[in-house]
Amino acid sequence: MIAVAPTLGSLVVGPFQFDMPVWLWLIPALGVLSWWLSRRSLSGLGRTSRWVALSARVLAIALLAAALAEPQLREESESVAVTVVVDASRSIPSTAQSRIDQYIADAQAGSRQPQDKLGVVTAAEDAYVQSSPSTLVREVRRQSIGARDGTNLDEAVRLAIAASPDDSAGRILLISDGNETDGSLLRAADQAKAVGVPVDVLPVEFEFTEEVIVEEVQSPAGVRVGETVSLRVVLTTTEPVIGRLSVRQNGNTIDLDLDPAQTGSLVTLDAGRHVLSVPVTPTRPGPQQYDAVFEPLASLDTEGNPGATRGDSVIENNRASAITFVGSEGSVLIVSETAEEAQPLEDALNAAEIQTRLVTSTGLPVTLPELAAFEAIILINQSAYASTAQQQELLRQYVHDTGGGLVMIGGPETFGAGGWIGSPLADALPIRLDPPQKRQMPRGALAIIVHSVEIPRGVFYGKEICRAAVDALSRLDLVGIIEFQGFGGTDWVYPMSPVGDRVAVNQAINGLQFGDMVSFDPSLRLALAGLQAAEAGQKHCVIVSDGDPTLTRSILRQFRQAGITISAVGVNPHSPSDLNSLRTMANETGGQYYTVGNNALETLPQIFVKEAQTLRRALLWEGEPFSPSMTGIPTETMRGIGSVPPINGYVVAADRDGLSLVTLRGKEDDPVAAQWQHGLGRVVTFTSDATTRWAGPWVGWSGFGQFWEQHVRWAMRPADNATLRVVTETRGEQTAVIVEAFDPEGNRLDFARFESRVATPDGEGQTVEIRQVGPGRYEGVFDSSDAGAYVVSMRYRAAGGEGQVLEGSAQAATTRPYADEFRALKTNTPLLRQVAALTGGRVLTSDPNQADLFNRAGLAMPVALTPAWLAFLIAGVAVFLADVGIRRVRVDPRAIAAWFRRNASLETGGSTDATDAFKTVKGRGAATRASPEETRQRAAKRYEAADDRPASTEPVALSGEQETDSPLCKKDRPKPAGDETPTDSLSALRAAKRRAQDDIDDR
Amino acid sequence: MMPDVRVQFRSRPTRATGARRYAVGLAITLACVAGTGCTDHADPAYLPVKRILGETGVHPGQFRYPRGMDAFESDGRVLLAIVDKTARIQLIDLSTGESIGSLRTLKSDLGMPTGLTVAPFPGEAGSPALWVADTHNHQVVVYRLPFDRSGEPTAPAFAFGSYGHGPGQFIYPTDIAVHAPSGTPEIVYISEYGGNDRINVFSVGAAEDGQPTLVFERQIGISGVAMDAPADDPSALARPQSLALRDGGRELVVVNTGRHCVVRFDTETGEPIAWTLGDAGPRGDPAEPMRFPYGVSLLDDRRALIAEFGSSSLRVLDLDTGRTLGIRGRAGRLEGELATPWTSIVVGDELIVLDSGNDRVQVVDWDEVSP
Repeated sequence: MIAVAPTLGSLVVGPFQFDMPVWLWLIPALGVLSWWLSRRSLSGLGRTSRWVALSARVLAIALLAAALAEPQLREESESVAVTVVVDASRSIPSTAQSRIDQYIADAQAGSRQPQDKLGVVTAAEDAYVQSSPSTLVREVRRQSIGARDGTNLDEAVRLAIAASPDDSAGRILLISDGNETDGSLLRAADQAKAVGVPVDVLPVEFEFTEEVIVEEVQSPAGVRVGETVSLRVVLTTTEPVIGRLSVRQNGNTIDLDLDPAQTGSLVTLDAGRHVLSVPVTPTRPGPQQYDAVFEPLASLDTEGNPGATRGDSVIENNRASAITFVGSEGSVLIVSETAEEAQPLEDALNAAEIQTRLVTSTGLPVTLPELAAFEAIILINQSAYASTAQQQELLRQYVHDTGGGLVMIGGPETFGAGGWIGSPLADALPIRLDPPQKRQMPRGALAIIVHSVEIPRGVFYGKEICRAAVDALSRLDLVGIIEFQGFGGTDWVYPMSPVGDRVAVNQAINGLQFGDMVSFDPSLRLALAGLQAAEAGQKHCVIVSDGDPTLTRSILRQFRQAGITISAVGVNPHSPSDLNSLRTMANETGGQYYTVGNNALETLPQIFVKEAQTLRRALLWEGEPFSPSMTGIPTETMRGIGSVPPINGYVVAADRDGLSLVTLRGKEDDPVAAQWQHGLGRVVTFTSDATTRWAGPWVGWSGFGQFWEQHVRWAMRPADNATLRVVTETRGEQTAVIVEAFDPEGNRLDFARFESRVATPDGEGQTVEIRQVGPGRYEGVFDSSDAGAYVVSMRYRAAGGEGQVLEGSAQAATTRPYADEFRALKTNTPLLRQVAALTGGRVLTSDPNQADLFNRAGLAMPVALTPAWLAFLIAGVAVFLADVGIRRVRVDPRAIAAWFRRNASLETGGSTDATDAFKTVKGRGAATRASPEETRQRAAKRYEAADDRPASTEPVALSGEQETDSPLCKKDRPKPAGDETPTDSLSALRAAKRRAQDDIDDR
Repeated sequence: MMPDVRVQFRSRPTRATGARRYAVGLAITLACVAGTGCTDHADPAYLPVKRILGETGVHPGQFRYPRGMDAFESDGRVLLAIVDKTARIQLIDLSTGESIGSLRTLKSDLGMPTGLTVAPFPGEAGSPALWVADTHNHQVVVYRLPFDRSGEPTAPAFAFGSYGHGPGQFIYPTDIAVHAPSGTPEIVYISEYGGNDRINVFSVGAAEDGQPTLVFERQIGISGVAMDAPADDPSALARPQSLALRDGGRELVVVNTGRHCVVRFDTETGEPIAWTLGDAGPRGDPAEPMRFPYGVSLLDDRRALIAEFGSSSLRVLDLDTGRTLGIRGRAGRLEGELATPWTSIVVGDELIVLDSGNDRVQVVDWDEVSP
């Protein structure tokens, strides 16, 4: 069988594939050449021998040519791997989930052959492999499915393709309702088609006949305190229903019912779309969130009587929210751990009629709308570990996307010394928190020891804490990471070396395996040696573990003697006593001890930030008082300030490239006061403090109030000097921002230029392009498909009358209370059918007996290729030797028989002594050995035997050694022409030359 | 030489590189053929695997970090009892790898069992049972053998032990050795770590209310961790991970994992007889010392097979001389390579290795690798 293999240019012959088939052309070419040459060279052989010799030669050529053609032995797989993609999102009811599992268990048994494999991937917000395709998998065993509030079939199908083993033909069975909230299933189907994996589909049929959906709550984007506004709650019902509508303002239920026992309003709804109005009156400024919830009580029949059913199927889509901004005078939030530290600044701002609100870090808002209620936020001596990474990200968003102002004031717990290096907020600051290159700073060395973190998502958290710790270090600091890696035992994953640009250390962190170490001792010994060898001022070791490895106390004494502290973090111990060894480590070396349960895992990275921070005290400069030098850059913040009083301390930082402005500098030109615009917002940093600790003379300075008022006012979100009416409108998965702008005279404001961003639930943020669509009317659209709150902030500039520039800002917000997962009312069967058709798959029915899950029709079975050139080469050489043998070795059966007969007679009549016999044969050999001259003559007569020669009575004659009187030599050859009979080769050549010359002369 | 199997889709070599490759390949082949051989079998660290049982997963026949194994015969076939880090104990047919039954221990939220031993049920000669060190629940649980359950949490036939530092209490039990000279258990040795780091010795008493009773007798070894004992104190234990009885029960072989050694204790006196780091070869020449030895099983009354977690290898020790007779296996993920093995046993002519880090069991012809 010859067939062209699927690979370009390869040739398949039987079980072999030739990747370089061009070499096979040698077979006919050299075959013909051999035949042509054999007419002369093999002419001395008999007919049969000549053909056998020729065939052997051609075969040898064929084998050698085949060896050159890169032969591969093809082994075609007979295995089919079916990966089932199960839609595990909330849109599939739990009862259906168990039916799906049973379907798979039943269907796989149908057409399955022993070598066939089954795998399972679940699809929800994210896709997870539950079981890799294996011959041992026969059912669904769900493990981690992740969040179920979304459906990403695209990712799941791609994952299933990736999980398909190479040694099996792949099929995918997609069991879903076809309603996806993320990705594109059709894109994944294209990929499946490209790699030849058919996708069979099993639609999970459902249709909610009784359903109530709260589509949205509409509210004005901005109102005034005390103004009554009407919330509009939009609902859709499929059947008449009676239920109770309740509304909450910032979490507090508004009483809508006259009945003291009830708060919700009883409403009766026909099938269709309804808009219910609810009057509300905000009583305090800031963002107000309104949540509307519809609680179905019963369905109604055609006569309006309550039925037996509830009238609703999915409860998750019965709520919606809206956010309204209630206007107020601008206010500033001051975050400080002590009132004393904030007092001078607060007094100064209040004197300047700036409203302030003082909170500690625990009072820092945790949602963006709450943050956005303030025009600026002032952080006084705040360390990074006092707020969560999420809060830090919100602060960044607050500045960048909502246009809020940030003023960060120094102290020993903040900036680089406070663990802010590498934090989300660091990018928003006008200074770099790493020390400047030119400064010779004492550096710290941190050894991190990680042990198996036996908690859910333990590896994830383990890597997070390492990253957090490394990010909190400066680039000059030294860091090393140690873990037990199984092979090779405990070792440095990242040897003690400078943090640098963090690329290498982050790569090492990504490769962490979190092996289960048996003993702390090898790790601690490594850490001790690494830290002792490190050239650093401060040396510290942090270890995270569940505490069950063994520990030898003697090594702790060595740490103590070396002045190296160990902080130990105990995570989810098997028993409380496990933590004893960790506690001992911390106590005996002067480090800190932490214990973290499963419910506080998010704090783990912050603990490591705090630990890393212990090395960063070197970033504090404290010394003799001096007055920071003014850079003289004309800025609004330094207007009217000619000089500043001395300070005696600050946190060392570095200039940032870009548009940041440094207005005050300290020792060695370190930035002390700096400012810049970040996104829509403005940021000011002051690396000294606003108290008597480092800036005692400032507090009593006459310009103190002016200095801080100007800085804070510059950072604050600008107040409006025009009137904007902002409305948001949900359009499918998008939200439109509609702005109506008026100038102070009430005329429509045209040609305003808007700069707008929306803070999204995922923290990424989007730029919203707002364009004028009518007189004084502007509109922008953004994607709002994820559940959560979206805060839109905009700044504008427009030309007013008499060369005046109108500028200001506005905010609006919208929410998506639940995922689109809960909006679908029936199965998206057409999409599933399209996927099956596109990939060559089938649409299965719910009968598992007809599923034929491992159907082989149309599947391209994978082929394993094993190089076979060596076998061809050996075979070719062997045949070549056989060819030589055929030509050079003659076997005469009759001679062999005669030889045996003679030997038999010798044995019968002669000596039986083996030595004698050997000597006899040897003597005969000597007797028959020919002279060299005779040998040359015989050589010239080789291959001249005739088929009809008489039978020899002698043993096998090897070429070149046959006896002179052998029948093989009896045939006379014609004498060469000429007078001289050549007696040697030189004479023969001379004779031939002479004959040739004679021929020429004759012509 | 491992077979060179390539997938079909690949880049085509140039003629020059192809020719070079052929030339080099031919040279290597001839050199191999002319030499001592070109296969990994020439490497003493390589394990020529007969078959592999299991793979990663939670389905029957699959494992997720298996940590304890023992073998027994049932209905003419050899079954392996294997516990993994899902608190699941499976009975695996040694010849086919098929899981013929599995169960889960009742409690697993704090942690999973790490060791098990097949021994008679207390008071019932010839009635096999599975003694499981339910490590993180601070107890030993006993199940009757065989079982054909399908993985559900199952109450043991018998359980004993409680958390604590007191005599007979456990922190983290790791292994059980049962002395049953007349077919029924008489003395039970239980190793533990986590602070106690000792061997608790129990005698099997008369049954009460149908339940066997175990009476604490004494303790063998002291905690090298708690006492911070000198490194050369053989009675100081740091995570004794597994046990074996020798010499008709007169000696207890303890793998002292945290101290990288094997200790022989006199079971009568509780005193150490000898200990070894395994750092001497068969003729007294230097040998690689043990690194976190985990599992021990006796090959005969003189030789012990040690599974080394730390070096991902197996070692045969002469218990009389303490010398290392041979080291087999090397770290890796391929066939014949090991990743943090927890234990190994020889059944008949087959070496069975619990290749924990690779989630599998490797079966090797013992005659091929026996030193």
